[in-house]
Amino acid sequence: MKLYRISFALLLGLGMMTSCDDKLDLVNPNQQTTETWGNTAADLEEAVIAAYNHIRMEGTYARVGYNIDVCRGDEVWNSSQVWYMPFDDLNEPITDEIGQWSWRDWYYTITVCNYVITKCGSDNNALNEQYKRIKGQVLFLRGLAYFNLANYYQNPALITDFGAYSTLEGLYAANVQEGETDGFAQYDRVLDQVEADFQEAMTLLPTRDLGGEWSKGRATSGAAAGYYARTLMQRHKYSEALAVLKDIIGKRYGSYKLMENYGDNFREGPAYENNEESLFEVQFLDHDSQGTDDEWTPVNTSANATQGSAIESNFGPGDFGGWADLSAAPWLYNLFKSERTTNGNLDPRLYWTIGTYEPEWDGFEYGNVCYTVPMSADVFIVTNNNFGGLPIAKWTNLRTGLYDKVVTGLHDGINLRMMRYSDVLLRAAECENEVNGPTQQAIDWINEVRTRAGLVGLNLADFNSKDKLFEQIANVERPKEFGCEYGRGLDLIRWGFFYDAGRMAQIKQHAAVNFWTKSDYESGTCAYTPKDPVSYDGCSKSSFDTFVDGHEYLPIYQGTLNDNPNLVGNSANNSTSNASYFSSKGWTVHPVVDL
Amino acid sequence: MFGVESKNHKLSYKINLSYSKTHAQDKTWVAAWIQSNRVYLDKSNERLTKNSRTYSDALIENTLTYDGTFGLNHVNLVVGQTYEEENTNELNSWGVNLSEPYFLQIQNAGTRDGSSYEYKHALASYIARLNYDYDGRYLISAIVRRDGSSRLKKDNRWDTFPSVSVGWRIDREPWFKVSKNLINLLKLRGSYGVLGNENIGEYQYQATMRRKNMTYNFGNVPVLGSALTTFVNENIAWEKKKTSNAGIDIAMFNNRIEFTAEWYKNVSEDLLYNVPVPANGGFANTSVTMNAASMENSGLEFSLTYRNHDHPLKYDISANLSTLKNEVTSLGFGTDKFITGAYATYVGEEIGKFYGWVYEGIARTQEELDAHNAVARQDGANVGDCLYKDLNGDGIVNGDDQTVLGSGLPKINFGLSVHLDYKRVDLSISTFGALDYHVSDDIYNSLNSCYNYSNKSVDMLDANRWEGSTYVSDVPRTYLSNNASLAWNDLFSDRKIQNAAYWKIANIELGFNMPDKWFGGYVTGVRVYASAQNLYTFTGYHGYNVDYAGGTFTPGYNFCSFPTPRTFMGGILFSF
Repeated sequence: MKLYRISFALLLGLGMMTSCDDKLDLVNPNQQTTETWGNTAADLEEAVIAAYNHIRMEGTYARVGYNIDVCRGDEVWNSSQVWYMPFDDLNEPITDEIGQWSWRDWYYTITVCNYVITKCGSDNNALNEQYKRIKGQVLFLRGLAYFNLANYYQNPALITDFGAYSTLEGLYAANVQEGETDGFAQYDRVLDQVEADFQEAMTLLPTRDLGGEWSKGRATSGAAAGYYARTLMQRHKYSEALAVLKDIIGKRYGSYKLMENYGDNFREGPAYENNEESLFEVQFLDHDSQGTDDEWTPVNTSANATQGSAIESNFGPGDFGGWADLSAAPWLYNLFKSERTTNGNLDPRLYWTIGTYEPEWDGFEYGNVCYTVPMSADVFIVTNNNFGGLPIAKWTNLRTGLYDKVVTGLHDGINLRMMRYSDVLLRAAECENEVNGPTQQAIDWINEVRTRAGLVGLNLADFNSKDKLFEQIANVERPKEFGCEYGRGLDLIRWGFFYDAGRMAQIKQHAAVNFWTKSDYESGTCAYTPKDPVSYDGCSKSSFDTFVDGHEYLPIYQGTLNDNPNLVGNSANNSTSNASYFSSKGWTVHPVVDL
Repeated sequence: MFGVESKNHKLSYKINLSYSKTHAQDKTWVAAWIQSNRVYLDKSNERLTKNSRTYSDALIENTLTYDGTFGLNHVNLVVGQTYEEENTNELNSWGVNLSEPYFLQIQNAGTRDGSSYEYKHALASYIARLNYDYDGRYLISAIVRRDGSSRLKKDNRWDTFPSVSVGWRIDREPWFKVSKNLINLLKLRGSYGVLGNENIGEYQYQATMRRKNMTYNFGNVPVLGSALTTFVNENIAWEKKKTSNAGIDIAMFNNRIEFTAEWYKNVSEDLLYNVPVPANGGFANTSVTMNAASMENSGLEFSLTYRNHDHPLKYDISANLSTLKNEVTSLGFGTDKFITGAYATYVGEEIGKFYGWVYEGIARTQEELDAHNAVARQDGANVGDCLYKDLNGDGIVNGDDQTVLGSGLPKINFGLSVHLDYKRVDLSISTFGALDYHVSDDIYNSLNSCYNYSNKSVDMLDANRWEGSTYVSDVPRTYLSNNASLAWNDLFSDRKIQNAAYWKIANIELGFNMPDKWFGGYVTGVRVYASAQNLYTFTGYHGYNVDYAGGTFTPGYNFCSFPTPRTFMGGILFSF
C-alpha cells in the first residue's frame, strides 16, 4: 500500500515537474494571432504584399503624399486655393493634421518592412533565393519610406528592428541625440540607412529581365539602384551616384530604354504600364478591373479595394468632375512652347503634361480632347472655375479616351511611374557635369532624352561652363521631361534653391500665376488668357512669396510631438533656415545663368 | 501524504490534487412590449439569447517538508511545486425577431448568430520556504517562489519572487524582567517581499490579426497580403508588488489586551498600463499595454483587542484602523498625466482624482447670470443653470477650466467587532467602514441628470421652481435636450461628488450550542444559529452600494456596481 502511494505520488509529481514549461505554451485557439504567423516564407510573402499595399495610401502615393512634393515644385500651383494651399505656399502650420498623413502612412509601411526584415535575420548568406527576394523587396520599400520621410520631415525617427517596438525607448523613438541642435544630424542618419537599405536590396533582388512579376511591378535591383543614385544625389555625392547610374545604363541591373512614345508612360493598360522605361512604379488596377472599396488609410484596408489613386481627382478640372486642386504654372507651358521639334511641331511632352487646346494636336494621339470632349481654340478649359489654372494631363484620363469625366475617389488606374529611364539619363548627365564639367558624354545622355521628344540635340560648344549646363538640365530638360510629377520639390531642395537669393527670385518668377475666371475674361475684366506668360511683378500670386524659412520641409505635426515626447521639431517647426547646413557641407548653389 | 519521522526530525511529502468543473447556462428573453408611444420594443425586435459556459480548474501541488530541532534551533523547510490550469469554454447564440406563438429556441428567430470561444490559463510555480527560529526568540522566515504563466511570452514567462520576514520576541529574552502577567508578548517584526501579478487576461502578448485583407497587384492581377495592424507588447512581464512593513505586537495581562501597530509601504512596479502608441509606431491601435506605471501605497495600521473571559459572560472587543496614502510615481515613458473622463492621475500625486469644473452655485436671477457672464461667459446658459469658475481666466468657461476636485480613495478604513459568549449562547457582530471618503455614483447622477428622459429621481420634482423671475429651487432647471455649448447642469463638478463615509454592520450571528447529552451521544456538536449579513449601513451616501471596487484609475467612480445583498440565514449544524 505504502509503496503504491509513493510510486503514484512520484509519478504524478515528477511527471508534472518535467512538463511544466511546455504546458505554459498556449496559443490562442479563437483566431489568427501573430504568435503563429510570420514564421514561413509563405507568410512573409503576404507581409511583402502588405508593405506594397501601404505605399498606395493617401499619405504615401495615392493622394496627399504624392501631391505635397508636386506642390513644392515651381511648375505647379494650388489652383483651388484650399486644402493644398499651405503645402504650395510653403508655410504649413504645425497644427494641420493633413501634414501628418505622410508621416503616418510611411511609418505603417516601415513597420511591416521591419517585421519582415527582422524575421529574415541579418545574415543574408543564410537566406535561400526566396527569402533573399522577400528581404530585398522590403528593404527597398523601407528605404523608399525613409527617403520620403527624410525629404518631407527632415528628421524622422529611425526604427529598423521590429523588436524595438516592444521597448519604451524603441516605441518612443527619439530623432535627436545628446547635444544636437538641428535636425540635420538625424537627416544624415536616416539617409545613411536609406543608402544602406537600397544598396543591400541591390544585392538581393533580381532584375526586371527575370520577367513575371519582376517585370510587372515588384521592386527589382534596378529600382533599388535608381533610388540609391537618387539618395546619393540628394546629398551631392555625385561621383558615387554617377558610377551607379552608369551601371544602370550599362544594363547591370536589367535592360532599360526610353519608350519611343513619351505618352506610353502616362497611360494605363498592359501595353503601357511596367514598360521598359520604368524602374519603379506604383501599381493601380485599371479602370475596368477595380474593386469597390476606397481604402484611404492602412486601417481601412479591404480585400476588395478599388486599388486606384486619387491623383486624377486632385488634378482634374472642376467642369469635368475633378477636385480642381493643382494646375501647371504658365512658366512650364511657355517653356514647352518656346522650342519646336525638328519637324517644327510642338514638343509631344506638352500634350501629355498640360491639357490645353493647340492646333498642332489635331490628329495627334487622341487629338484635342478633354475627357473625350472636343476642345476648341477660343474656349479655355481651366482646372478651377474660381482661380483658373492650366489642367495637368499627367496621371489623368484627360487624353486617354477611357472616360468622359473624372471618376473621383480612389479610381485613377494609371500606374504612377516613380522613376523612369529618362531620369537615369538626365541624372547621369547632371552628375557627369558636376564631376567633370560639361562633356560630350553629358550632352549625349541629355540628347538621348531630347531626341525621343523630337528636339534637336544640344551642342557641347554652347555650354562653356558647368553652371550653364546645370541651368539647362535644371530648368529646361528636367521640367519638360518630369513636369508636374513627384520630384521637383526634392530637386529644389538638393540644388539649394531655397538658400540663394538669385534662385529664390527665379522660382518665384516660375511660380507666378494670374487668377483667371471665364466670366472675367468674357466680360473683358481680364485681358490675358490662362496660357499667357505671367510676369512676377503684378501677378496674382507666386506661392514662393509666402515661403517661411525652414518650410521647404513639412513641420512635424504638433499631435505627433505630443504623443512622443522624445521627438523634437525640425526646421519647419522652428522656422529656421537650413542654409547654414547646406553651406557647412561644402555644397554650393549654381548661380542663375541666362541660357 | 506520507513521511518518515524521528524524535527531532520529521520529513514528509504531501500531494494535493483538486479538480472542479462548473457548467453554467443562461437564457434571456425579451418579448415585444409597450410602455408608451415613446418607450417600447418593437414587435420583430424580440430577442432571445442562449449561452452556455463550462469552466474547469485543475490543481496539483507537491510539497516536501522537513522539520528539525537542533538544540534551541528549530528549522522548518518546505519545498514544493504547483501547477494550475483553468479552462473556459463558451458557446453563445442569439436570435432576433421571433413570430408568435413564441417557441423559445434560436432556430425560430428571423435573424440569428452565434459565437464560441475557448480560453486556457496555466500557472506553474516552484516554492521554497524556510522558517527558522532560535529559542523562539529570533524568528526568520524566507520564501522564494519562481512563477511561470501562460499569459506571458516565453522570454518573460518566469520570474522569481523572494520575501523575507524577521521577528524578535523581546519578552522571551532572559533580560526582559517584566512580569508575564503584565506583558506576555512583546514582539518587533519587519518584512520585505516581492509578489508577482499577471492578471491581464489570456493571450495578451499575441496580437490578433486579419489575414489577406491587404491588396496590391502586379501587372493588373490582384494579390492579397497580410500584416499586423494592432500592436501588442510581446515583452509584457509580471507586475511586481514590493511590500515592506515594520510593526510591534504587544499582549498584556495574559492576552486580555492585544495591541498591534504597523507601518506599511507597498510599491507596485511595472504595472501594466496603456501607453499611447505614437504615429512612428505605425500601428492602428492608439494605445498598448506595457509594464510602464508604478505607484506607492503607504500608511499605518493599528488594531486593539480587549478580551475578558473571567466571568460567565465572556467577551472580546476588537477594533482596527488603517490609513492610506497613495502616490503614482510613474505613468510610463514621457507621460506625466493620465486623464480618463472625470478622473485625473498625475505623476507624484494620488491615483484617479476627481477632475472637473468648480461649481459656483445656481444663477438665481438674470442679473446674477449677466454678472457671471461678464467675467466668465457660459454660452447658452439661462437663469436656473449651474455656474462655474473660469479657472484659466480667459473670460469663458469651457473644457480648459477643469481641475482636480478631490480624492476618490478612502483615507481611513476601520473595523469594529464584538464577540459575546454566555454559557451556551454566543453573539458575534462585525462592522467596518471608511472615513474621509468621496464617491461619484453613476446611477445617482444619471437619475438626477437635468437633460432628457432618464432623470427619474424624485428629487428632480423640485426642479424649475420659481418665485417671479427668481429661480428658487436648489435643483438646477431641466431641459429636454441641451442647446448650450456645454450641458451646464450636468458638468462634472463638486455637485456630482458625494460624501461616502460609511459604517456598515457586515455580519451578526447569534448561536446556541446544544449539549450533546440531549441526543444521547448519537449526534454531537449540535448548534442552532441565525445570522444576518449586510444588515445596515450608516451613511449619507445616495446610491445602493457604497462598498464597491472602483477601477484602478477611477477609484472614486461607482459605475453601477453590483449591490451587496442583505442575507438572513438560519441553520442547524450537527455532526455524527
